[in-house]
Amino acid sequence: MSLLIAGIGNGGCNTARVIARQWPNGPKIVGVNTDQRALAELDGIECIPIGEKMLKGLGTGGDPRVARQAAAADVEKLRPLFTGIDLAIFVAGLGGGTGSGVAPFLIEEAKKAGALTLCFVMLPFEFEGPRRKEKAERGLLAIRGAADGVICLPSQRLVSLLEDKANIREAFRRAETMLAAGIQELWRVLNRSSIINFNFADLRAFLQKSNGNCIFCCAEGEGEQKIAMVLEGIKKHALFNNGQTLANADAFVICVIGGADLSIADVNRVVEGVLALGRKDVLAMTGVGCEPEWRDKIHVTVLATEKRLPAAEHASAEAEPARQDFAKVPAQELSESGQPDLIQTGLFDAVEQGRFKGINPTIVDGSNLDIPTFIRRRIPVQKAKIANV
Amino acid sequence: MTKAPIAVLEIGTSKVCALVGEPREDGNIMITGMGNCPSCGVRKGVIVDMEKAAACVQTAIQEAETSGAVEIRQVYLLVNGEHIHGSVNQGSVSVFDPAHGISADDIDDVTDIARAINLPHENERIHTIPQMYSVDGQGGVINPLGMHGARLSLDMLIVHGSRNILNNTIQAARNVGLEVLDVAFGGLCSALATLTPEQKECGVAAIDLGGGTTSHVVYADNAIASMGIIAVGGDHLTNDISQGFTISLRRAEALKHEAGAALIDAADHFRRIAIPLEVGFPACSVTGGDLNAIINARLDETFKIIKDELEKKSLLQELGAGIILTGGGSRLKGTEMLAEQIFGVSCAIGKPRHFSGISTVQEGPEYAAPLGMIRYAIRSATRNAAESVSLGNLIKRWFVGQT
Repeated sequence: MSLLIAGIGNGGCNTARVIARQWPNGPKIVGVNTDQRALAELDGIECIPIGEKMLKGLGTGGDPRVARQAAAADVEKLRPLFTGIDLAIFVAGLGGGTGSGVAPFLIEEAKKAGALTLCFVMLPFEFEGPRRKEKAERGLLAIRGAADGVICLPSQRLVSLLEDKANIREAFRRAETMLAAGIQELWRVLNRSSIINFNFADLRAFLQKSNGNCIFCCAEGEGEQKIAMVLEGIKKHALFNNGQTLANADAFVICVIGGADLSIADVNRVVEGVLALGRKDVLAMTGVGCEPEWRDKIHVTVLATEKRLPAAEHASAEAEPARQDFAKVPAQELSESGQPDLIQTGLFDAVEQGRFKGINPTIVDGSNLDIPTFIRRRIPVQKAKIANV
Repeated sequence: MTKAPIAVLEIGTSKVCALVGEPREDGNIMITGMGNCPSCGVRKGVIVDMEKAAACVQTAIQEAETSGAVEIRQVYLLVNGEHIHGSVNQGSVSVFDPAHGISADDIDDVTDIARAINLPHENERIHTIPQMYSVDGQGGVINPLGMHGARLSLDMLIVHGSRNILNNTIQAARNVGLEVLDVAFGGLCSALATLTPEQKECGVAAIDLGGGTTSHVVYADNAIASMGIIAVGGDHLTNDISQGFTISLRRAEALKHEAGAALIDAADHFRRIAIPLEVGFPACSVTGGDLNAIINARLDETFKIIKDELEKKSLLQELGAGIILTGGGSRLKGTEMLAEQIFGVSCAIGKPRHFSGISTVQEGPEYAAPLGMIRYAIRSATRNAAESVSLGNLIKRWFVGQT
């Protein structure tokens, strides 16, 4: 499976650079940005400046529409990126112009070229202000509509890890490093989980059901206490809000990668340990694999659907209704069974759409026409306002 | 030829409709009875709840019996749904005696060959319609009898659909004690009710915007050049509106009928449309801009799917007489203008031609299919009596034997 990692915008490009450093001899990694000054600081990855004519290399001034136009103007430069690519992973920091505007455009282009698309997004810190947060929400909505799967990193949660006097650069570095680790770990899972297979189709089904509210965390353990280390790491993980995410999640995916010596008891302890952190009726999918060179070492990645991102609570009125409509779908179906279920595939395949629930979906050219067109075309609609009596 | 009135039944996604009509001396068809019932248990043109559907059939038939003062025992049944496909099969024969021209036997032979097509084993044929003969490769021959040539070919349109789904539709009618005389595909019947011979000659597309499905039939040079069904219809519009505004389906349906429009009009953008209070639901309001954006997106998409298909078969430039819209969806304000924008040809709402009687029926594009079916039934009855050549030139009917 050929992989492309594309960082979009400042945050995305920085993350791409971190990945390139941590992952020598890794996949093809590119950075796409409108701001040439920022691109010039990148080393070790291929850089593609866009909108040079339109913006004179100065960035978009935080306007996603301008960014999209810039990308559209340079589409000839971007298209060749996706030839022969099976899976394109996009990384973007949302809140500015380039990430929110260019990412959906590139995802669409990648899809046209026949690639599967997965997008990792960093949501802004609180201190970035409500305006950026609102833009991030809208960007997320657009990305969710375009990509096969979206995984979020709510940066704000990392603040608890930082000391008060921490450098502000440090805060961003932290988010980028974590995102880079997540991408690498997920790629490992998709490639190596051969014992209990967890492939891209499973991931896509899970992510689509989670409607862009999927959060990940990675933990690793080594030596005698490796299982305890891993479980502790997940339980206390900042991205999971100290376990709260797991406690509320409707469903999660547990991926265990161990060495050649991975025992069934170890896997069992990890899975049971993680399940114990969740609700009784949570649905879980697992993937297990091994890296033959490892000894006495275990990596666990957990993906969890969160009911609502904390950021959404402050989102703008326009973004809000559409989000709720999306978010409504999974909760009902997933909570039906009373016992924790261990399943590998197939769970999330059924499409459920209001009136057409349970009927053969109408599929034309790969899109399910039973899903309202305005949702697929990402046309914002405000839901009915209750009249004041 | 029977003098008895003909009853037609449509078990549609949005309505179950029964019409009673009889041919008059002047060739027009007089509608004498009509019954309607909002449909339950039908999705995308296919029955999903037999009991509910049968109950609706019962209501519609009773109403038609009362209004037409007839007893309905036998019906012609309309069928619809995405499972229905049309494919063209060409058959050829060598003319038996070229010196004497093409004989009736040659025509029979080529008909038999052209209609022999391997259908998927779960499918059953609904219509077998001769399209166009060619003599020695020269196409466009309507009636080859007596012509000279060595080789006779015939393009045969074969409309077929899933046996189980068709049988379910028939069963719903049988469950209330009706005998089904024949079935016909709704899209073809809509075309039959609304298109003029001149339009068929110039090239025309009849698009039927139904409750659960949208079908199209394209005529070029007097023959059907393409047909297709998408399982997207008015139901989807209602569902879209309901999901977009998070309101009940019933309210969404009312909103669509009362305030919906296919085109986005800047004047409507900020106009708030009030949804009145109901038991269990508070009064609320939505903006006209949002409502029209939802409807516009769906119709735009549906039309574009059809357009793509016509473009693929390079039929768009053949539509000299433009596009005729029928079905309940065409009642939505601005639909024909949207279609005009998308297809780039003139579009109009289809008026059923040469029908008289119950006045609502004549005007309603949503009754095009059942009206067309009455014409179809009359023509096939006439043809059985005297082998005339018309669109109703349908050869053997498998359903006749079964009922």
